Amino acid sequence: MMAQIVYFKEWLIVFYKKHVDVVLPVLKLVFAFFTMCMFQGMFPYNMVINKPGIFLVLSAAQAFLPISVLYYMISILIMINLWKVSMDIFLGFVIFSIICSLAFVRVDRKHAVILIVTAVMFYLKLEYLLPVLLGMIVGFGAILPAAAGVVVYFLSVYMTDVSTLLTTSSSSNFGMGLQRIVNLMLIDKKLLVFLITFSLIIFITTLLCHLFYERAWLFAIFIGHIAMILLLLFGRLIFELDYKIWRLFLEMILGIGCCYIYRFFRGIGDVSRIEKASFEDDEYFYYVKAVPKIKVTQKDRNVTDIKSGENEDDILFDDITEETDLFDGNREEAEKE
Amino acid sequence: MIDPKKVRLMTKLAVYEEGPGKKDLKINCYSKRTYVNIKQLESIIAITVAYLLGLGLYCFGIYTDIISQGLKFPYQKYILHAMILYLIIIIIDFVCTRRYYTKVYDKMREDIKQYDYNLYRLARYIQKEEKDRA
Repeated sequence: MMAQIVYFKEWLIVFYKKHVDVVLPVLKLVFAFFTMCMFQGMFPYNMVINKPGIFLVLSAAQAFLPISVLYYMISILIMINLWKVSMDIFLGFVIFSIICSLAFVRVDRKHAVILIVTAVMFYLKLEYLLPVLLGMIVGFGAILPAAAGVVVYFLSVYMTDVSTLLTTSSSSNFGMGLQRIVNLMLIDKKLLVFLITFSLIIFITTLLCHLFYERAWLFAIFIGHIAMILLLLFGRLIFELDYKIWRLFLEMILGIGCCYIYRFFRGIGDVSRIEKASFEDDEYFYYVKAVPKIKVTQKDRNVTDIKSGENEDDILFDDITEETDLFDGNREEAEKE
Repeated sequence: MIDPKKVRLMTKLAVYEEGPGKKDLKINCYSKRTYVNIKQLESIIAITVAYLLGLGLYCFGIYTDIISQGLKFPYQKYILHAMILYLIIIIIDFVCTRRYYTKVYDKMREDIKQYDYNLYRLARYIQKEEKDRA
């Protein structure tokens, strides 16, 4: 069973390496389309832009652009929807976007994706899967984007209340909507509990993952999830909040599974790809295509099940040589050349 | 006649230069201290602007209290809290930025060392070729 999973992982790596030029844009297109539809669902105030065709065209463009551009596209999408409701809320969101850009997008643009994923997971009611996974995958850098994602989701929740208020009130002054939203954010204990829990769990998980111990990640998964449950239950008790306990435990189990799956497939997206380079010397122009070597396929392997005290992983991988990467570390070997 | 060893070496150099080397070679112009200090200064300015914008949004939330209470509003208490929070944020930012950009610079130095070594190898190889031809 374990061997079959290993072969599947290796097949996936080989497939990704061979077809990375097609697979990556398709994945980006699907992700962009899905997230834009989700955000339009969270902020459905402008029906002019609520057309799948527009999202499809933008997603097709996004397929060939860096993933951080998706953050700007979604920010503009939200702004267009908020403009329809109220100018002051639109300006408030613009200021919030600027704060996010200055706080974490400036440092690493890829972290902007965490904000998008957090808000979408909240919308899909799968938020409890996130904190430990973010701590394992990203580290401390996920704290601010995750917090911003939580704020964006809660903004979408408050907007339903505020848009009704602005529609029904006979005299709405400039700033009434934004003031209402800021007041709701300041008094909402659920938002506070989620912000503190997510930040602490990402922090704890990252610390645990970086311990000098081989199985530190295992501790991080279990301790992270248990700590999350305890914090959320404590918050529920103190502030009398209304999130469902059965969903918490169900998502904790799903979260542990997702962390295991991530751990097993870790590094698939990180493989060296086909590199194209051009250079010249005195005699020739060189147009080079460097194709990374394939590690192992099912046909090359003879797997023997050995039931002993030894670690099965060590037996499976003991004759796989390390893939030569583009940076050779051994000076002595090079000097012999 | 194409020499595969030379081509392999030049490919490694070209791939690095067109990939991570673009950013690394810019960072390598600075010493570690200068680079970290520049990034620290950028970070402090960015965080200060973000904090002031956030504070502005918060003041908008308590705007009606300020208007209704006028001079009786406890400005001193709010200003003191705002300054303490700002100091805490700046200290956390200082520590995190310093650590992060030190790591970035150290990683860059490792890659540049390898790149420099490959350049040296290529230079030695070309010298050896010219000697053999002569």
